[in-house]
Amino acid sequence: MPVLRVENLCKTYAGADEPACCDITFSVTRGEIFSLVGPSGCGKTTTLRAIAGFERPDHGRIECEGRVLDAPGVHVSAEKRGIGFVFQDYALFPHLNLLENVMFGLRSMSAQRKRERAAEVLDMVGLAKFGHRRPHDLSGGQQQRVALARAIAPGTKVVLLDEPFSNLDAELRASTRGAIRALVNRAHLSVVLVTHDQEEALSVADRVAVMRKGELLQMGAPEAVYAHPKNTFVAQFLGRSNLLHASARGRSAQTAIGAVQLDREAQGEVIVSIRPEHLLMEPANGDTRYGTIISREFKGHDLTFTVRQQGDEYLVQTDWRCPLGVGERVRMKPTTQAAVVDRLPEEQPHD
Amino acid sequence: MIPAVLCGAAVLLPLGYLARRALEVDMALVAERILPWSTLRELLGNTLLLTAGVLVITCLLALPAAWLTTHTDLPGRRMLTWAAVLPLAIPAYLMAYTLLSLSGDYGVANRALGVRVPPLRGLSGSLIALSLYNYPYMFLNLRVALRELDPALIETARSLGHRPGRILFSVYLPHLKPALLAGALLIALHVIADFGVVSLLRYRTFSYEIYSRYTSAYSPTEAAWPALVLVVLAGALLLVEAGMLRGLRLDPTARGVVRRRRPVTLGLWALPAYVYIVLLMLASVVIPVATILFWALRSEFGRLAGDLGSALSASVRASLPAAVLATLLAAPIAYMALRYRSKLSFVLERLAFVGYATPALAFGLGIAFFTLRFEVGGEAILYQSLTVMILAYSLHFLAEAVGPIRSSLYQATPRLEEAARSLGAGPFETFRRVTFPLLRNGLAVSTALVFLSCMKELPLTFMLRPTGFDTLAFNVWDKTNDAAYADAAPYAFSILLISASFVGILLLQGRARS
Repeated sequence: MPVLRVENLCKTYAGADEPACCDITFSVTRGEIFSLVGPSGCGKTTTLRAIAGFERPDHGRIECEGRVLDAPGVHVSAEKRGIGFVFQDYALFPHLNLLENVMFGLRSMSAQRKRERAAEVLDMVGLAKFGHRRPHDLSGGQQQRVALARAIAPGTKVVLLDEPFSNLDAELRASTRGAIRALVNRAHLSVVLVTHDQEEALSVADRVAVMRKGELLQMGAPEAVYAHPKNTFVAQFLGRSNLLHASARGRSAQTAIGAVQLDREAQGEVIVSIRPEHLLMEPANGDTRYGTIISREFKGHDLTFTVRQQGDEYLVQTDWRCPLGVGERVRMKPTTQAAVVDRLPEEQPHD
Repeated sequence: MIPAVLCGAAVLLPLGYLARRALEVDMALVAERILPWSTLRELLGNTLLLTAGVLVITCLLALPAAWLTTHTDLPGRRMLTWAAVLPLAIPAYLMAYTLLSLSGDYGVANRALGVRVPPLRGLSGSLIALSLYNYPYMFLNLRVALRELDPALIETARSLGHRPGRILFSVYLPHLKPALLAGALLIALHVIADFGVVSLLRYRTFSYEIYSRYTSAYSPTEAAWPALVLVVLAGALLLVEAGMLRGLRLDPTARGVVRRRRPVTLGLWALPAYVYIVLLMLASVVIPVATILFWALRSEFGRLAGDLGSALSASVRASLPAAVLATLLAAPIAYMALRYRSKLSFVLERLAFVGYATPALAFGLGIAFFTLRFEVGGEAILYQSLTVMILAYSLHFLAEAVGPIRSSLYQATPRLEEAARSLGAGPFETFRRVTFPLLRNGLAVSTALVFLSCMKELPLTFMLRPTGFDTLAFNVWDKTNDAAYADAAPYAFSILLISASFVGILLLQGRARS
């Protein structure tokens, strides 16, 4: 039973030629972290703001916990939705201290009870002692936790997070991921978060949806979307990828680096995606089909090689102990199935 | 929206009437008698000479002070920053009063100290009075620019072989250009519009000419021409500044990490620095205050007390409504300019500044013309009415009210309002619990600033006051003009007290917020 359901959501801003988001459909279940990921301007924030009620959709339907929030002729205003929102810049009220910030959304209870509830939620995010500080006195990470506490204090079950990682440094990102996950488990929240950072999306979400130019391109578990991108954009946005021309017959195909297994049936000329870490290199001992290593980048946890073969360049990621060096002739071999990807109008395979 | 458009119309209307009145006259008559070339040349020459002189002196006074407070380890530089802004509390005509009552045979200097200072009138006196009043504006502008100067720029210049003397010209001055221009524009507008100083010290600028024609011959039409030229001059200044600033972008090209500046160690050089500061403080604050006190103690308080009370009441009765009105008008203008960015809202915000940039004497004259024409039942009911004077005050000082509201609106972002909405607060509750509390400070500061400016205001009061409505400022001017320095002193002292207390309140608020 989904907690939040978005159907055929469309929104075009006044004066814009292209819709900001178009025909977006997804649902989120209890206790799930759902991530909308895409480059800036892809419509992910518009979608989030429509769910919160800050934007009114042109078409489509939004339901939350069985209530219709948006439908033709229906628009519940933001303050009546009971959906929490955490802004990219946190938007803590600067004239109120932390306790008062968290108390802001609490209604129909005594002042004493409000205070207790706010303290309880602040404690949940580990800031119990800071209740009387002003937002200005806090670090970015602390401010974000307060914003989160403020959003869930009224007992909110659905929380929307706009770019929760963008203003944090690397270390804080990790702890924020942990904090969000812990809160979801503890308060049985459903979370929709928006990010342009594919790594964050993949690591924190239970399911991701990749967006581009207002369209939702692919949705699924992070592993599935990463391993089986359906089109060239998703393949390249979620990580590095080699795009190869292939002639397919059923579950296998011929490519410039040899025969590969495919993740789905295909016939004729197709494009396949192979991740750099799914390629293996061996010294080319007298093979006729070989490539030459033209660069080697040591990254600590792994090594990335660029190999040129017949005018095309390929990325190969190996274990850090790989002894091969620039100039050596190698043969490349896929270690797993290649993903068959559709070509989007503007996307060209560059390899 | 509607109040903003009304403001725009109300600012432009008097200027239209001014132009109309001026252009009614036969052009041959203008060239021959009203504003012949020789007169125009003299007025223009005097006005520009005074402006240029004040600009040079204020730069020379402000640059060292700004540098000392931002780039050095001078002990007490925070105090110095406040001290350097203090002259803003002493209106220029009080500086003129000081010069007049200090110098000459009967001056304080001769009577109290036995030092005979030659009479400071005309150009020299005007230069001193206007420079000492205006240099804080330059100081504040330069201070901000110097504080933002990336130390790496200076280090780069040094690593490329520039010696300190050369760095002044290769890095400092180019970087300070926008601040210098902004400060210069503000000061130039003040100088060409100044009425109090040039009328008391008898220096023949456009303002002086408007004043003397308006009073002596009582021929308003003859005053219209110099007023029109003065308005054109102010417009030209704005255009020149806009042209010089175009394409000038000096914010850092890349957002690298800007390091904290290591202050210059002054060592023994601190001594001449202090001498400089003491002299500056002496001239701009201590001597004016001491002079006013000297005369105030010699005045017949008993005789003046009643008049002083009614003058104070007149000032407050005009200033308080004007301050509230200006704030009420400024709030929608600032809100629109920030939230609904469009060509129209931009133009309206600029219009608020036109009211400020228009020389007050010319603005007042235009309003006088308009109110003379506006008759109900054969009577010019608006002419010299308190309502019109209050309206003129608030339009003239509208720009002062926009600034603080604007900056507090920056704090009250749409995000905060949306956050409140998502927490269940409706539009009205959001305004009451979030937007208003954040705006409150800005509104208070705006009201206070405009109130203070109105209490000190002279040229508009001079042009528009109802007969017998003698404010504090008008009394100071009137009695000084009659060389009754002792009689003027209690009024001058009252203005000083009010200014100082307001500056104090603003400082306290600034500290409470930071």
